[in-house]
Amino acid sequence: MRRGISVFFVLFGLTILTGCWDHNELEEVALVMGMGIDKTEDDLYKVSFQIVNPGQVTGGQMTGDTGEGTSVTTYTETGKNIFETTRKISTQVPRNLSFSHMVVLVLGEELAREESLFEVMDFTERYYGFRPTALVLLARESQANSILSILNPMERIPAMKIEETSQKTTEVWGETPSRNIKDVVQTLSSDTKSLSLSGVSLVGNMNEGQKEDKNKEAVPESYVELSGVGMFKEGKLQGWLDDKEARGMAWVQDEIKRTVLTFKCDENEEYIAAEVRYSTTKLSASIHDGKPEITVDIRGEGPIEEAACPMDLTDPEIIYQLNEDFGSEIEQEVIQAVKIAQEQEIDLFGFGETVNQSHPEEWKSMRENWDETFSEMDVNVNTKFFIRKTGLRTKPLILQKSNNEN
Amino acid sequence: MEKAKINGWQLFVLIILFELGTAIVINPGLSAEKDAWLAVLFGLIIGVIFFLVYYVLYRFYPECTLIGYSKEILGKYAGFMAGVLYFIYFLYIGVRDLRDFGELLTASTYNYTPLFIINAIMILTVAFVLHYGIEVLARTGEIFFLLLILVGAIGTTMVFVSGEMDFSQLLPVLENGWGPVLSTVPLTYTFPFGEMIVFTMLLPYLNRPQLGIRAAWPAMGLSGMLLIWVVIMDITILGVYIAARSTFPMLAAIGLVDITGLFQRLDVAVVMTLMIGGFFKIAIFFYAALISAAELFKVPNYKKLIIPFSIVILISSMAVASSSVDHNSEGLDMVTYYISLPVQMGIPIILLITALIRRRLSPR
Repeated sequence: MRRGISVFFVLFGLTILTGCWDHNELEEVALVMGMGIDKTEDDLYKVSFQIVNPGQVTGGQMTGDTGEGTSVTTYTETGKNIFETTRKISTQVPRNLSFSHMVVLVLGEELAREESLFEVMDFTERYYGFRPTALVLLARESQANSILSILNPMERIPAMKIEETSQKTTEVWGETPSRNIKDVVQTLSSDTKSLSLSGVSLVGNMNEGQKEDKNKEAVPESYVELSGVGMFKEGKLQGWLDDKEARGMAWVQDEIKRTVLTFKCDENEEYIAAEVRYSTTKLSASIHDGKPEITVDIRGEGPIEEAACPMDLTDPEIIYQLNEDFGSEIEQEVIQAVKIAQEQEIDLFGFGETVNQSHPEEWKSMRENWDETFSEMDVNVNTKFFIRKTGLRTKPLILQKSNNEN
Repeated sequence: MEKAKINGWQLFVLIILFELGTAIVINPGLSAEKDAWLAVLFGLIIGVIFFLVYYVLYRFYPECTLIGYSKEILGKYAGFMAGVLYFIYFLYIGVRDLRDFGELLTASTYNYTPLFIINAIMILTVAFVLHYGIEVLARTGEIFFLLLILVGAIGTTMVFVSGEMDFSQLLPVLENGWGPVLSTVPLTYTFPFGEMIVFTMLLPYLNRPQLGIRAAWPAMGLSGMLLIWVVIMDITILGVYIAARSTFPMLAAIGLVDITGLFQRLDVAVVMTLMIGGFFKIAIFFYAALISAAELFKVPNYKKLIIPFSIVILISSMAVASSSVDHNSEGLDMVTYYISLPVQMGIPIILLITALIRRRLSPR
């Protein structure tokens, strides 16, 4: 009897402990690497799923059978909401979609302008299959669908190319901060902070870019690049910040990891460039006569990397002067970005939160008319930049030339 | 009661596993938003003070469980009624914890597995361990405690290294005054600190009575600190708004940890925490219900009750609410104010006062 019971338990355990009610066999799963959301003319969502073709990405050059077809296929489906399309797509895709490896979510510009992101993003945070670490980008002046479908020779999966480009450029150039789903949702749920999302745009001809053999060109005719930062108000896209303005915003948001500062040395049209290797931004708020004031303290440091000016870089005085110049370079970018944000009454920087954190009492009365208060408030920018070294040479080559002439 | 002894370390471990249980993943303090940690801290303080009430009662009647001494104190009939009330309470909270556990697992990882199956497997495991008695449960606790600490330490290190935490999310402290904090304290006290009432059923098993408080207070303190740490982690990683909106904040927070693409997807650590904690919480409530029923209805061996009770708990866990929404709203309002507070604070205080009066009237 006892033995019978234990045998029963062992067998029972074997059946239940495998825990495979929710099993998903690998060969039945379609890995979605990227997803694009657009809007159709009749107000439906057009959702594109970039799915890996397993045979095309494995093996590399060893097997020799790669390069036959594209490494990904992008399927598109329309529906009244996003979840609907993830299931409706089963009419085209022979496998179940798995979103756990998704790296990028691209939103079409039209969608971002017309539909509020509050509606679009709910699915991405509610659905169990989504990972909040996927990057969110805006398809600038194009459809998300076309951005996703441009193939690239360096990275076989376009979604990964976009993601890696975004990460890399955030790291070394800093104009287009990378934001993931969690960052977006966090900003959207904030009281006053407005969302800013990096744009990704298509250069060249879309139809050309979708073909695998275009990867045999040395100079690609069509490619995808990160460009600019879209500003949102109440979840809708309002406008774009470009180049230096975008970087000014990134400075204030403390998103700069590394970047390049250039400064035009006086008289001639030559530049001197330094790399920012380390930077921090501190925001602080104060209240004067009932009016809030924000102080932005930015501190950066790094080496000189290129000097086309006849300056004696061995002279500490000149280095001190350059520190000032680079500092004011940063300051101007920041002031410009703040000015644009204030004109548009979009608090991209979370100044409201800064005020709330240090002056919660006063904040309560400002909260109501924050947009107006924000657009009129004083913003002090203090920047400090420190040149720490000058690279492998001291005096610039051009200085040598003028010395020789004398 | 069975013939068994547990030592102070085992009690310590059981209390920690019990307190963390489901609270660590749900974190009741989050309705106080940014001040959740304050709400948990106050809940802890009240819980620690009230444990003294349970402990004093235990020292008055070191041989008796809660069921036993409520009969001694209140007399045969009133004591029996109080006993039945506690028996139902233990059973009911056991049911609720099983449902919590199942809801969290089916919402996060086992999306297409029926709730019933998850709950059935869990209650089966619990029933199996309880069949061997409290000593085995305590020894199981020792093993899983080490595992939990290991997982917790790894998870915490990863979170720190990942740099996802932003402590300014916690500012300003007391943004909306004391109101939200104080209205959350009943919740954070009753769940999980007030639930220590269930240990009045286990204290008589201690090999040395004075270890009761020496093990329980540090255990409560440590688990309270861990709960505070976790709620701070949730808020600083997710931001208060996402954390408060999440059904499973810890999973969402840990899911964001990504260290250079190498250490990521630590979700398994959270699910493991949930499973270990859930198991001990359900097991302890189930066990308390078993021995209180055995004592009340004079069943010589509680083990006979395991199978019927398992079925009752399993079926009730399915029937107790029609949806997770139902289940949670019931837990937040009805259970907190009309069940937990009277059972965890009201009756023990009445018992203590009556006991003190009785001792005064008849000095030995």
